[in-house]
Amino acid sequence: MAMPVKKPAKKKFFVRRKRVCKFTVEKIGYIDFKDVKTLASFVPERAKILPRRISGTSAFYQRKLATAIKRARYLALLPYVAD
Amino acid sequence: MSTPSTQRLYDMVLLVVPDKDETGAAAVVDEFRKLLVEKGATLEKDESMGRRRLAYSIHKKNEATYHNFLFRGDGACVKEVERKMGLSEDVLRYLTVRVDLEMKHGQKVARNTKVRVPRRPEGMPESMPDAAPSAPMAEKAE
Repeated sequence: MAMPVKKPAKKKFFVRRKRVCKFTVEKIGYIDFKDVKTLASFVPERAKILPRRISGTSAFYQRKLATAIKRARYLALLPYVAD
Repeated sequence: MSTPSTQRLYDMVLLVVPDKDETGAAAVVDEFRKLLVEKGATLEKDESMGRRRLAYSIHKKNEATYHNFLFRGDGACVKEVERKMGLSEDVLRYLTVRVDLEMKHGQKVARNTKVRVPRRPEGMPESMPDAAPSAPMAEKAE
């Protein structure tokens, strides 16, 4: 039996955003837990740590960043949960 | 007594209760500074981070005066200072982190990591809002 001929799916073009690890580019050796300005850019409104698939941070720096954010949270520099 | 081989680099932050005014908070910090020096620590950085709003309330307090010490010392020194901070009613919270190894390792990794700039698809504008700085590109051009 002949199958109904399907129209070829419309090709979608995605513009891939350039994601670069900020810490690798700037050759930052140590992520300071007191540097709220830097850390806050990886903690969106919801107060969760931004995943590396979105931020583009390298695996090494993502681990360091997560630790730094957790330390900053303990010192009440960053929130654990959004208000 | 600590020998240079047991001296580690520590980063300590303490939060002084908001009930203390500027001079009161300075006195509390001074007490711990004296204790650190007495226990054989050498201060490398000693700065006030000022009075800040807390991201969440701690013991029903919404503000605190932050102070940061970066010092070289041994474990016994940290232990004693942390014990005193725990007993003190003027210290809302404190955190001590040994940073020498982290810094050393991080700097080594930073030195040895090559920056890979993702390829730009055809027809994409030169500058994107979150584009990487052009420094690595400039290096390539040379």
